[in-house]
Amino acid sequence: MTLFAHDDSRRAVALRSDPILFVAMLLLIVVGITMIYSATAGPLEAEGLDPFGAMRRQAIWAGIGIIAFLLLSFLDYKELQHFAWAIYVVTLLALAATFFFPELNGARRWILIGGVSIQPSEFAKPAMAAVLAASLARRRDDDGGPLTWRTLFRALVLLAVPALLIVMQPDLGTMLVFIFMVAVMLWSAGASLRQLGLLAGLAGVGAWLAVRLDLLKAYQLARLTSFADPEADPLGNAYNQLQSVTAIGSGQFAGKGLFQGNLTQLSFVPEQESDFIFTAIGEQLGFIGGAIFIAVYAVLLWRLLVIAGTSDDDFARVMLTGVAAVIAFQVFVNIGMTVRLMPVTGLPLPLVSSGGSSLLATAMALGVANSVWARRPSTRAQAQRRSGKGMELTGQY
Amino acid sequence: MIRVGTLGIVFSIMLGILVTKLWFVQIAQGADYEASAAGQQVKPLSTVAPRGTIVDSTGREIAGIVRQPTLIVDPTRVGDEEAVEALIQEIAGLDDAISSVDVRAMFDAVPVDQLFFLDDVVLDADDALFVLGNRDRFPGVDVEWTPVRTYPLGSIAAHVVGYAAAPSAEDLEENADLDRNGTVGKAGVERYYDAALQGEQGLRYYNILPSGQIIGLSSEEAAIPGHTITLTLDLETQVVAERALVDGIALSRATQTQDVTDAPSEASTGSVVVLDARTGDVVAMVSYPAYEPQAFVEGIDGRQYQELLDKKAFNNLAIQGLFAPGSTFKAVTYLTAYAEGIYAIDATQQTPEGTIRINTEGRLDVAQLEESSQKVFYDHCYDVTVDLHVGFQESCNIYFWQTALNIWEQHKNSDDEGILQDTARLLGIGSETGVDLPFEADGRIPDRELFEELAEQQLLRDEDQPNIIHPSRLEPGSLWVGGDLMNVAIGQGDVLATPLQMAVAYAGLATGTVWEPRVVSAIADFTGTIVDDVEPVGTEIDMPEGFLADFRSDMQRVTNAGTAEGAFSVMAQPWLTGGKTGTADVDPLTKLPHSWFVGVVPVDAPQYVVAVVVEEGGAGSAVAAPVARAVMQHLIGEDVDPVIEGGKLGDPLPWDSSEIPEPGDPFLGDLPDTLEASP
Repeated sequence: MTLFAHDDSRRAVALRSDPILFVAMLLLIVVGITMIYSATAGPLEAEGLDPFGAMRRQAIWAGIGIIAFLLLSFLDYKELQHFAWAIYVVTLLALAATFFFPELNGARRWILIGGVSIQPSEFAKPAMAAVLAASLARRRDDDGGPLTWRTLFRALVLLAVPALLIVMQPDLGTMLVFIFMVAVMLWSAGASLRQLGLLAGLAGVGAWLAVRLDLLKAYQLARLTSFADPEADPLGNAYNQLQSVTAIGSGQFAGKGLFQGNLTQLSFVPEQESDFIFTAIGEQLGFIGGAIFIAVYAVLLWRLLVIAGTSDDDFARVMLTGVAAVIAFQVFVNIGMTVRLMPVTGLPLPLVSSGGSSLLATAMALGVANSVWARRPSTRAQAQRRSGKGMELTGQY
Repeated sequence: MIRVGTLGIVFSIMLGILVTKLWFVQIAQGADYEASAAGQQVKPLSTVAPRGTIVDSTGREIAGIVRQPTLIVDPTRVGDEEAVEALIQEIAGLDDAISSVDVRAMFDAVPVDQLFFLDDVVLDADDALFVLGNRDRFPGVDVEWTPVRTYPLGSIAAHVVGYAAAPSAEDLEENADLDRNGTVGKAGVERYYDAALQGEQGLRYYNILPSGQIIGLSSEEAAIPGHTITLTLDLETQVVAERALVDGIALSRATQTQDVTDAPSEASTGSVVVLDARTGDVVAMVSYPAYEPQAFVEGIDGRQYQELLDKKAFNNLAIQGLFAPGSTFKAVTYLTAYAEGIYAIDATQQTPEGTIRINTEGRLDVAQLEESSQKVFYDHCYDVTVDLHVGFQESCNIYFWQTALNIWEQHKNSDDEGILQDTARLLGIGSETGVDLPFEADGRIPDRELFEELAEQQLLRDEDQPNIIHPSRLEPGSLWVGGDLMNVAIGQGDVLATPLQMAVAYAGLATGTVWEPRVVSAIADFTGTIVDDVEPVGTEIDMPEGFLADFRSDMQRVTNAGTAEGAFSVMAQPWLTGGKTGTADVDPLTKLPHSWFVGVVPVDAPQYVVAVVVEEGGAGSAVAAPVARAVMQHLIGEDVDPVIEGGKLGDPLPWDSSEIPEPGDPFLGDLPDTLEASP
């Protein structure tokens, strides 16, 4: 990294950016805005409202997200490691602030600032990826052995506080994202299989005890077992999913055509602009469109892992595998939910679902990834390091 | 690094699973889902718009809206015929007044597969909760809170407010825009202003699965409440007038008898109109007997309806009751005489100009009448010299007969023959006043033209039909004679007028402006924005110089020294009042006369006109005058003296007069608008 410290200008960052990552992000955002228009224009017009209203709101958030991506690209991501404690405190405060705002659909997940509602738990996902990475990353003189138990538990304790706040909201979907994220990050930080196995065992026993000892109320259990959340449950999850899978199935191979989805457009599918946005994609663009759409996520994840693997910085690597885990898990659970593969949760489809917080938080995380990529070691430096010391493996993948 | 590479494999597997599942859903089973999706449909159901509220001039609500639970049925999700039968039994069990046969009829009346309301099943909140709590017993049934008309003040001002009820088949045929689940105004303001009160019905689109299950609301256009109508009525004055009239009818029954047969009065109907002489606003309008508009909301049975019909309870006598105005009409003759300078002339020419000497027998000398009018006319005034003022004060018929004869002498068979009738028409008598209420009657001012028409009808009619006019009229020279004009001059013969017409006429006589009376002053939409200000419309009459002062003073003499003195003497300030009594013959041999009083208060600066008639109630001075006196006492803020001992006037008001009336919220936002269909 010292190799290009003198070269760390905007021009250099721009030249060394990851265009594939940026284009994949833009593609997903554009598809999201288009499908939001398709799903909301009809109902909005029927209510005598501006049919472009929901779409415009998302487009504004997309603009803010792209600006945030660019700003964070220019920022040296290492600052995040230095200010990890500050990020942690702000995250906790924002999560706690939700309890001072009115309940919506039975949950307190939002804070209102100047008429704009912000969902802190969305920002908590990448923020905790950075915080945990800072905690898990090895110092440069680390011998590369297994993670110490001490480091591992410090990370778990750090996660416990925001996790508790999120469970209290309640937002079990985000809680599950955290669990998957921390597992992936521990893995990439070098935790041994024994350590991971032990943690999984502990988690299993804890869950079993919670159920057995009636620590969970019946409705909480129902929520857990169905992964339900009140927001996504106006009429019953089974119905939502049935409607969704019917709409997607009826799209068949080629889809009904953009803006031609009669089920999604007639409001048969609830939450079709947010959690069930993939339903509109599946119905209107068919299997071919849906598969290409998923492929764009695959490209995005591929780039994230490449960036993580290329970096010679343990903090960046661990953090970006966490970001990739968050996106992969949400894509899997969200799309899985629309085709009745997974239970219903309130998890959005990153960059696509209607909702500013999720979009902005994801774009920011990708901006950080781009910053890491722009500051990757040059091939020459890697070659030197490999031939010279033969010890640093971080540049390889 | 290997660990990152492992993650790549894990993520690839996750996305691979998604694509595989997608392939199953869209390719392998796509056709099935396609078929299933095609079966999904949207079903519309109109929602009833809350009818606009009606308030009095102080804002007190007299017709409002309550939300009532109503069953909504989707026949397609009830189940098989057996389930339908079971459901019908359950529904019939909710409302005692409804049998399972009735419910079956409601089910059968609806086209197959259409959502419908069971409006006629009356539920209370407990019933609604029971239905919602026992979904298994009520498959395909939901509860909707529909707006229902309510008349919180019962029969008060019923004839002005009228009533709204479910539209009949004819209503629906006449007006295609009517909501069959809604209401339509059938009488009164409810009918006249129905378009403003209707509001706009909403529309809900429900998503229906192929199985018939309602799975939720697709979209909704909310119903828009009807406009709020502000009446010109003051309900306190209305209540006082209603009670005074009821007491007046009781007074008639207690004191009045038929002159010839001596039979006691059986009066049971009457009317009071209080008009603002400055604007034409109807401050009170009473017709007795009245009815409870609420009965039509809850459903009225045939027997009850017939009873009310027989009692003329649905007739608004103030605008539909046609009565000979009797001596109250003398004011018209008074104005004609004053304007034309044609006064009664003593045949003997022995009294000063404009006065006559009535002989000791009170008998009219009719020497100047043609043969066909020769009759002997007697009067209650006798052995007295009267001028126009005394004639009005004491209601001496002979003076007005003589005036009519003088008009006849001067103008018979000329273009000016009808000057008396024209004056009556100018004052609004004998034709619709244009009040904003339905079914107003026109009345009649007889003249040569009318009789010619009647004669023609008489000649053209079938032989077996009864006579329209007496056959003797058809003889040459007897169709319209001086005696007819004499009858008109005292408001008898064929003169017919409504109480409202007489009130309008007296407002014109007392102020010089003939108003088109109105019962509504403003129409506002549900946000409170005035959409229609009903401006007063008046026609100024060019009154002869000195007339207004003279006429007011003569009206004042009636209640302070004349025929109505007895009725008004109980007042603290009787000098503030003025008016004219009327005792209008109906059939002098068998029936009691109509008892009339029309007056003005305060008489020197007229604000209100009060017109009272008690049908076949007896003498105007004995029955109608005390009723009018009580109303006038209220209008000028005096303590109201009873019309009859122990009468209704002593009752407290039906509301606490200190409370500030609050018109209801047309949305009633605190109640659930709808209850979602359960999946």
